[in-house]
Amino acid sequence: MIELKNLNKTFNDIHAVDHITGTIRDGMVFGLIGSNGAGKSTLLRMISGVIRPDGGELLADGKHVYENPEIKSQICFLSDTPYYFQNADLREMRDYYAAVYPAFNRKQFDSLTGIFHLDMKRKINSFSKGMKKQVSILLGLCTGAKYLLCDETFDGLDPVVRQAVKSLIAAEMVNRDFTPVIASHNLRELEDFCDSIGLLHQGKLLLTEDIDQVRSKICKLQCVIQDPLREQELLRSLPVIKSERTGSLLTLTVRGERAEVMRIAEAQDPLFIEVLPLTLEEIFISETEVAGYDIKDFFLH
Amino acid sequence: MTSKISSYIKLIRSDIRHRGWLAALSCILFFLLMPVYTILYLSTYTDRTSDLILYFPGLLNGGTQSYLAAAIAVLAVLSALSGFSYIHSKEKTDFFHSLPVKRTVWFGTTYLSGLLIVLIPYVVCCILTIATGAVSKGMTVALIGRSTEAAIGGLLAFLVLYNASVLAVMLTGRTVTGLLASMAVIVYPFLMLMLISAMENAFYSTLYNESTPLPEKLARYLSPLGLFSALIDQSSSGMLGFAFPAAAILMSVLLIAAAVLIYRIYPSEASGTAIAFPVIAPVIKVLICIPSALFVSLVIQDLMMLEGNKWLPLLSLLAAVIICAVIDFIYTMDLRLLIKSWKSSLLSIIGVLAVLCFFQFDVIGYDTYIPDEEDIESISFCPDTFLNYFTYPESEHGTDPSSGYFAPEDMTAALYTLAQSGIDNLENGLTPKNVYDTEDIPQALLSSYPEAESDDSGGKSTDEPCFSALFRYKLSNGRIINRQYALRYSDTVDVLRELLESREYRERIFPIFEIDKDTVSTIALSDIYKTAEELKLDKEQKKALLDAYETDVLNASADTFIDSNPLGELEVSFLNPLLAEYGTVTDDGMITYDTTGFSYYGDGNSFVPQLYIYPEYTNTLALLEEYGYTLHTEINPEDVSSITLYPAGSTEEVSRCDELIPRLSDTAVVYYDELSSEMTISVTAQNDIKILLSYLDHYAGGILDDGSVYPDYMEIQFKNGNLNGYSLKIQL
Repeated sequence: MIELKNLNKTFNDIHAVDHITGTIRDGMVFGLIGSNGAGKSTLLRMISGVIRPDGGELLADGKHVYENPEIKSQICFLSDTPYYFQNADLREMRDYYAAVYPAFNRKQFDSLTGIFHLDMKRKINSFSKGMKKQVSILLGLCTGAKYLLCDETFDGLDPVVRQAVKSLIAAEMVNRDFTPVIASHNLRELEDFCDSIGLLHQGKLLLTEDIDQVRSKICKLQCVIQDPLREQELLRSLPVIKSERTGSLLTLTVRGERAEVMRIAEAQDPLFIEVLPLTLEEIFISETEVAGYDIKDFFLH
Repeated sequence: MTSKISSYIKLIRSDIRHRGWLAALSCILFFLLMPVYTILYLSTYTDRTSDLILYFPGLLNGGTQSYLAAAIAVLAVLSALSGFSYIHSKEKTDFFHSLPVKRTVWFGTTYLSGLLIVLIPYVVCCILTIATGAVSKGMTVALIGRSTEAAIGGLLAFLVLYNASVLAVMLTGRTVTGLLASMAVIVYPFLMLMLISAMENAFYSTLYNESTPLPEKLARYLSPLGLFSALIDQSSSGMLGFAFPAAAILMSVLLIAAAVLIYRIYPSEASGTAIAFPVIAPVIKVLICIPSALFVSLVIQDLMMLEGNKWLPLLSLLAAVIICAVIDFIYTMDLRLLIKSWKSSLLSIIGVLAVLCFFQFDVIGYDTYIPDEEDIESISFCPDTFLNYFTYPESEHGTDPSSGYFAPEDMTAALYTLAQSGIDNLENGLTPKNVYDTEDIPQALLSSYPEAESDDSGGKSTDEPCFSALFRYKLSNGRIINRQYALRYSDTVDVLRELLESREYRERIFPIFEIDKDTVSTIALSDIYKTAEELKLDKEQKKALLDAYETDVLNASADTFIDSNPLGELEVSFLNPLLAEYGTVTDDGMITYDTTGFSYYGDGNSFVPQLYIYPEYTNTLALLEEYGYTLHTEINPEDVSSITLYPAGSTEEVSRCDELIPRLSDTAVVYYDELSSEMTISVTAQNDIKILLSYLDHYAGGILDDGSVYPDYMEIQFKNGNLNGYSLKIQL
């Protein structure tokens, strides 16, 4: 388990990570989502021991990560722009990883490169961007590290490879103690892959929960209530995050379980009522909007 | 533990493989500049094989081959930059620092691989070079020892620059700024210390450096550049000793310790920024700007041959502004942000002004300082004219006479007063720096000359010579303080007359008293014909002649040395024990002595000329006559085939020839160069030769003759083929 306790990091005048507290439980796919510049990469770099936190505590399996090779051998960080040695081919990178990661699985790597049709003798610099990402993922998977930190690693992969990688990760989770942490903007992709998510905005962790719990705690209510007084009563009785009106159709984003929201809304005698689950993208927009990150601002300005 | 070591070795091997280009470059450079160059060098070597020890060690470290020294320096910087520049890249930092390896291990393995990449080819090429020497010219144990010493010097020199560059890389966030910072770390302490000397030289008029000034000595130990240069020089000349290697190792340890500490806290977000720690950016800017601006302005002043320091403030301010702008641009890479850090720029400019004011207004009172008379044990007095008048046995190896020109202690009061007159002159604007500039005599000083006359242009001139003199104050606590002052002839001559009345003083300063008469091998006599004739004398006669000469030196009146014209001179060769003491004996039994500006190779004999003979030296003259030698006092025109006269350069001086030229025959060739205002008069006719010779009234200058009394010069071509030069004055 990775524990973040009041984690803090400032670069010059930028508060990249603002007193974050949370946990990433073992054996789950953890999705890290957030607006641009929210601090996702910084957080991953801190977890992987690249950056030393200014304050707070960062523990992986109860041990400090920074300058701790023992625990760092259980963490593999895949940067959004992977680095390979000049003129290196897959064999050279494999050998290098094998030299620094004691549990590196050469056989698995050789086998996977065959499956992914990656030429072992070809220089990596001649690979396409997507192929380089594939190499990065395969190297990361074969390190045998317990935690695989992927910083927008799936971006740039074609759908087939993306699906294959997801299958690989799923297989690894079945076969061994493995916890992938995936930071991405592609929320649709995370939605059906992650078990839990952490939502970052301006360095702050807005929420961290199992994805099912998140979905169950927020929903979209669409209703038509003719009596304005009843409508006001409904708005007062629900924890509304966002409300929109199109003609007589009132659309509310509301915190709370769907059944409970439906019960409260029905009490106001609506002409039409429907409660829908939110997509991860809608949850992201709603939550960040509450935190002051409103899509309307982009257009108003 | 074994697996850890094996893992470290893997990392080192991997790093070396990834920096294969540097290893290849090292191999090529060292191979070409060491064994290949040595083969070519030895194939054209024609000196004695025994002398190879003087040149061969330098082929191993650049002591006699500057390209090799430059290659060592460049490879040191390149090795550091290529090894550690990964911290300047976010991608590379993310990659390396996320791996399960401690930063100190990264540092250690990268550091070691950088060393090995350069040092393995270097050591191999050293061995090849020595083998080349052995095959080509043979190799002695001594030469192998000296070659090993040179190679060690080269290794240490590399180490110093490598460590300095590693530290520089740690302080920066971009490779380009890393390179600039490397230059700064290597050069900065040297520049700072040299600047102190340069500023003292520029502003302190009474400054006299007897030997290398302390800041310059420190620069050789405290700066990477100074140490690099000293290690190469000293090790190639077999004088490595203990101090420089110890300083190199100590400096390396300090630099590496600092680099490791910074590496451990190096912020990964520094990648791509100029300075890794933004907090120190303005401090570095101020620290670089102040000395650099002053140094640059001093260099410009020197290159433009600007007199005095009047342009220095303007040049320094200009340089400070430009350097601040350049540093800010390096920091930000944005021209619009050049004035953003105006506070540090202002501080730099104020710092430059403060330093200039410190020296300009002589805040510490350096120039006007004179020790309390009670604290002075004795004073050494050496006007510039002494350097022309005396030649000592020590002159050959570049040191002062054994007396150090110190006067007897009872003469201290007189010399103290003379020194004070020097300070008075200084306060009136007459300094050792302008004392020979006859067109720039300060008005304040001219007003003190009763004989100063107004010229046509309204200015004043005076014929009284002034000259510079060195004073050494030996204090009762053993300390010696040096100062030089500009002195007026009238002030000096009285004191010198008083000094010369002392027998003890004469015994100290006249070179004859330093010659061991029992070891004299030859004595030659020279007169106005300036042809040295070796005297055919036996040992006793030589001793008697030198005894007579000593007696005459002691008995002559002081005015003889000041005013009288010598008739000729004795030139004595004798076995000098000092050469054996300071020099080294070569395999063939000769003595070599080599230091900056002075070199000696011979059998250990010293040659002391300029033992002048005056008409008052009756004992010497009588003995010479007894031995059958007489001195010519005039040049017979019949012996001369031609004369070329060079009147003193200034227009005023040339006009003195207006009366002379009409007296010469038509065969005289007068050439006047209007551009340089220099005149040349060549005569071949006997009558013309006679006329010119009539102006020649002295053989050599007196003890206080600074050359101004006899400003003109002529070359006499004798019929026997000799060509000699003479000073004279064409009188109106």
